[in-house]
Amino acid sequence: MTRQTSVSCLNQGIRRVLFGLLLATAGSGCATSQYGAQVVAQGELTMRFDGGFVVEAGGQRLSQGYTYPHLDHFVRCVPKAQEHARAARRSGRLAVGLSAAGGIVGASGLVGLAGLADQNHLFAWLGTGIALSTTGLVLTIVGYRYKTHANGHALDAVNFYNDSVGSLGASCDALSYPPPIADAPLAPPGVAPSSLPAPPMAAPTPSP
Amino acid sequence: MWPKSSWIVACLVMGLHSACSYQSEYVAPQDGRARAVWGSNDELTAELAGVQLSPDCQQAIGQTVSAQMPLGVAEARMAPTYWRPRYYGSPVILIHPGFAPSLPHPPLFLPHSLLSPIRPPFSPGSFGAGGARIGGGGGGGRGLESAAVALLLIAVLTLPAVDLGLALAHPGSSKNSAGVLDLVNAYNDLARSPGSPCAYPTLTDSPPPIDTRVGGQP
Repeated sequence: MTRQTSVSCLNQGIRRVLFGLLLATAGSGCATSQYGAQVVAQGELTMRFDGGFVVEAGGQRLSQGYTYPHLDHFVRCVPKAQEHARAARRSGRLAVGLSAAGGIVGASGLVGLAGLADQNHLFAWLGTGIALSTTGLVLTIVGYRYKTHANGHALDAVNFYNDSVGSLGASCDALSYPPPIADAPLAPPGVAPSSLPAPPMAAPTPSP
Repeated sequence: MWPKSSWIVACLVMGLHSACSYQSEYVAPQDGRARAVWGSNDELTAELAGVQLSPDCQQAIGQTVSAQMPLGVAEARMAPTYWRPRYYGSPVILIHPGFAPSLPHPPLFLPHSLLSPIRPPFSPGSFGAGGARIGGGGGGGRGLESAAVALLLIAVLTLPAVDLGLALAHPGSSKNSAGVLDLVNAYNDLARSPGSPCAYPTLTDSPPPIDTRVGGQP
């Protein structure tokens, strides 16, 4: 009887607490880019944040979401970038799957609240609920890790691509570079000589 | 099976920001073009690649981001006009058709004499972007007949919320990510816009060449 009384007291605030937690969860950390790149080179990749990273090519949306579709194809002429873009896609797929599974399994842990109605098996219900929630927690943590990796790989892909191709006005579809306006000026004292411009590369020899 | 399960346990034990973080291998060249890079703390970081921002430029970036100033090319999104890159260095020549050549020495968007070997601190925080982190579940219980029941009920209530929060959460601080990308985009746009306080100077605009001879005074 005592347990029934205490449990019924708890039961009164359950909805309020759960609602508050879900609201706090849903409302945490929503931010959006206020400014998008406008002066871009043809083929250059830029990024915005709109609830997640958005990759734009030449001012047009190219890829969005953790799986970063189309990105690996767009950067295909830079092997390092393509490698990262593919890794981003793999990680993103795992992240989406694990997060979805973790969210569903974790939310199903609320079944433990059935113990409030079935007082004779209260601990069994609560134990089941906690086991489900803990399983969901593991899945979402692993999914969170893959989200991080998907974003990191995508950002690396964008940077490797832009360094070699995009920021120079070229693209993998039209891989030709505009000429430089001048040789790089001499470095001031104290700057590492490794940052001096490279000597002109030999012209390609026609392959048989 | 064993390595995977041990790895999951390791993630749980060591936390999200240690064993499970992403270590970027990208190193930004000092070429004068701003970009967002993945920081060691799993947060986006603005990398200015050797540029020293003047106070006027910092002010212009802040105004551009906060006021969403369109830079006079607001129509660019519908009818994009591309910026023609102006860089210093050797001509880029294709070696293998279809593949970009490796550039051991990156082209420079800013004359070398204006690049700083020391990376200046550059944070979106100065323009109002703060940090926010995803919080975990709370705890605590009331002194009832069975503390165990109370604690279990709290766990049953909070764990699903934490699960859903993690499942929906974006890694890192979204405010920081948005702020860094705003800054990078605004700076690059201003740098490429002639007449702006951040505009790339041309060789004729740059200060007189520095005497690099032995004994020469800079």
